[in-house]
Amino acid sequence: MKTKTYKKTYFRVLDNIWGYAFVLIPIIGLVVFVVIPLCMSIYASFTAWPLGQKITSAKWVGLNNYITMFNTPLFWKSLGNTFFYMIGIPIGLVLSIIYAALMNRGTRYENVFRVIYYTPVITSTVAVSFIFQRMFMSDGGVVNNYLMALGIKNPPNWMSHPGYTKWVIIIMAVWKGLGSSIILYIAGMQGISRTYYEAAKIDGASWFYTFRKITIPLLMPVTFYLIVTGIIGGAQMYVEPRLIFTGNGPANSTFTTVIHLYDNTFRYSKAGYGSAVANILGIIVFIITAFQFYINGRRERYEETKTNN
Amino acid sequence: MKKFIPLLLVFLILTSVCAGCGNSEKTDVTTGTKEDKPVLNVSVFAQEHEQAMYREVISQFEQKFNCTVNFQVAGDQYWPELEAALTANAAPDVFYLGLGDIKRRVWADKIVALDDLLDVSSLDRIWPEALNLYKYDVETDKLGEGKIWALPKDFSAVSMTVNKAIIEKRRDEIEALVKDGTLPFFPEIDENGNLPVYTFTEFAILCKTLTFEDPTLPDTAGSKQVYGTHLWEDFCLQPFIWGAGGDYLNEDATRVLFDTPEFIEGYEGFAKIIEMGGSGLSTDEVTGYLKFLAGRCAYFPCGTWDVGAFQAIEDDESINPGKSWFDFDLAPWPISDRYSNLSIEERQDKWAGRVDSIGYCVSKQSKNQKLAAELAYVLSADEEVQRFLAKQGGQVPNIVSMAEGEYLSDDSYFPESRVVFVRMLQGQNGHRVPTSLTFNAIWHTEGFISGVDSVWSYYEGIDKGVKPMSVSEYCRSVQPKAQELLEQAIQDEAAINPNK
Repeated sequence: MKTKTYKKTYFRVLDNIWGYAFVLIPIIGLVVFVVIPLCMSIYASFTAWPLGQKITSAKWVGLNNYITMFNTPLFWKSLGNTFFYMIGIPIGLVLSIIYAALMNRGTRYENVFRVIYYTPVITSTVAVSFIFQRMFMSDGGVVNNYLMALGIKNPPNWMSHPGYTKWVIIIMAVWKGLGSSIILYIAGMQGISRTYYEAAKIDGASWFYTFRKITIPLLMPVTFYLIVTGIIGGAQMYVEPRLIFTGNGPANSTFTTVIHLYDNTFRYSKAGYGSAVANILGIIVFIITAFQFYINGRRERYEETKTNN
Repeated sequence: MKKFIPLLLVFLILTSVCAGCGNSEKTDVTTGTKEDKPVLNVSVFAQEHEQAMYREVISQFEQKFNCTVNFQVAGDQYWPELEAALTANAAPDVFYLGLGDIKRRVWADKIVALDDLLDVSSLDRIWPEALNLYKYDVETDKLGEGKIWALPKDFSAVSMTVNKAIIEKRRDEIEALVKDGTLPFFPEIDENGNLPVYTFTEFAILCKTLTFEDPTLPDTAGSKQVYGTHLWEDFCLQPFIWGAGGDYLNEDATRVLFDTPEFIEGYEGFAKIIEMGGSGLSTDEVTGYLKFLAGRCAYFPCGTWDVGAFQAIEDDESINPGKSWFDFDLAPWPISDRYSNLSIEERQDKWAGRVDSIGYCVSKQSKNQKLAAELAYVLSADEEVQRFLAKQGGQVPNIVSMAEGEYLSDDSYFPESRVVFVRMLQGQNGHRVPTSLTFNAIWHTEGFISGVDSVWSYYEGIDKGVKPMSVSEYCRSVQPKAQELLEQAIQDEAAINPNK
């Protein structure tokens, strides 16, 4: 009896060791690349840490970095701009679902269109930015030349007026990201069982009604994924504004929170302050994402209850 | 045996992680190869044509010193990647050093002084003005003195460039202005070699004259509208301030001078061009650059690194036949209206443009410091490298005798008036970039540049979502905040200065 218990315990321990051995690699990865940097970033945000010096020699300043940040108008401006750019997310979703529906009807050249619409995704952002600079040149750019040909005498000053600069970035971001959203939606649409559509057809439902009541609801997981990744990506907006507008844009209209973070950390050597900005941005994105998961969870529970009833 | 496998697995993972976390000095694999050749890692950013030249020189260096050089060309994330490498004690043997970074790199013990590694007498051939930029005396805490911490990759200058094709098209109108005394001379170098230095008002009038519709421009220009110039504060305001006798900082870089009469006068001179309509309704650098390249802007700032791209357009007969719309040359920056009574000779030393540099330094952690210093010297002062880069229009030669000799006399170099650059580098018309004198540039970017749309809004009458202000109102309004940011930068610097 004693031997049996001993053996049982021995095998349980051995199993546990096997288990720990297998999860050790991702855990070490998580600790080294996420937990330690996160802790360092939190610690650094309470210090005056000049970049290039050892963090251990950084001077503790308490909440100073956070107080300075909340009293810096440029920080608030950058945060406002960052969230303004997210207008592009619903625009991109609507466009991509429409294009995906059009490219998923079994027409002859739909693969060609899929390639065409996916090309911007794999095109260098530098090259795309250069093209958009030329297209949106306030005077002599292709867009304004077309607008003038259409009879608009005073087309927008896209590159110099703060009311328009953000839209240049949004248009570019939507255009560049459309291809990958379309592919995801097409994959989602192809995963929807034909039986739903056949049943709807028998019931006499129109194409639009079917699209609204079957396609869109069943694509919700894809939409949810695109919104979450869109918000996380949008909060990290850096490259596009910096490439199209070499500075911060007129009246700092294209200045984003990540640019603020980068400038302070790498240009002004204020890594402590930069860490504070990074932490606040991280917290905001975390709250928004958690809220989205909560709403999505509620919606799914509601759908389940409705189906069960 | 089987029961030991998980323990072995755990052990292997832990040892490999520990090995990865070890000090790179102990596990440095870059110090030797199978053949025991020394290995140098060099990290730079360079354009395509520069890379080919560097690789050629490095290949010769490898043969001469029997070593291997890993030449890494970084992308647009050069500085963050370098910071990460320095923090992780994994910096390359040779890397770039910005002028504003000298002190903190020295204090953090990241770079070595080159005096001890190179024959100092061999450095005489490099511009002394450029070498002085990399001198720092740790004990007295003075820049420009003491040991040399890097060698210049280049010694750059920013003058104006003028599209002579536009000037030619408006010759009659400009000559009429010269005839009636509105302009003192035609915008070209006179027979005595004097540069056409205009005052702010004269330059504004000239720019207005050069603002016109040109039906002869090709359709690829996008528009037929030509402008006199295109200026933006971040890059173009400094020469106006210096041209008015002002500056951004006092001598020991402890006080911001935005509210001084000279600074305001210089900025008002700059704004006058906008007010008179010679600059066009846009404040962004990109639009200006594209307009200049399309032959639609007469005067534009020009760095020593820009001329290669400009020359390529000028020489392209297929798009610019007979230099019909693009024929560029260099020109001086304008000066204060107070000098309007001076003759052209007397104006020659009154203008100034920015001079700057970036250098090659040697990592303190390098196992082959002497060899790395030799390589930095070759990249900085090898005659063939310098000749090649200058003939490509990438820079003025770092070797003084070459810059003052063959660069000026040999017509295979360009543009025609390259003497403008040389005079700036010689010091008579050059002024060091003010932001490189302080620990960081936040007093300038956030303290001054971030709000200049108030001034543009005032002159252009466009609502930019900011309170429109005249130049003097704006300069006085930003002074306290900019001073506060400068003082913060001084404190930040003091906090890491081992001497304080």
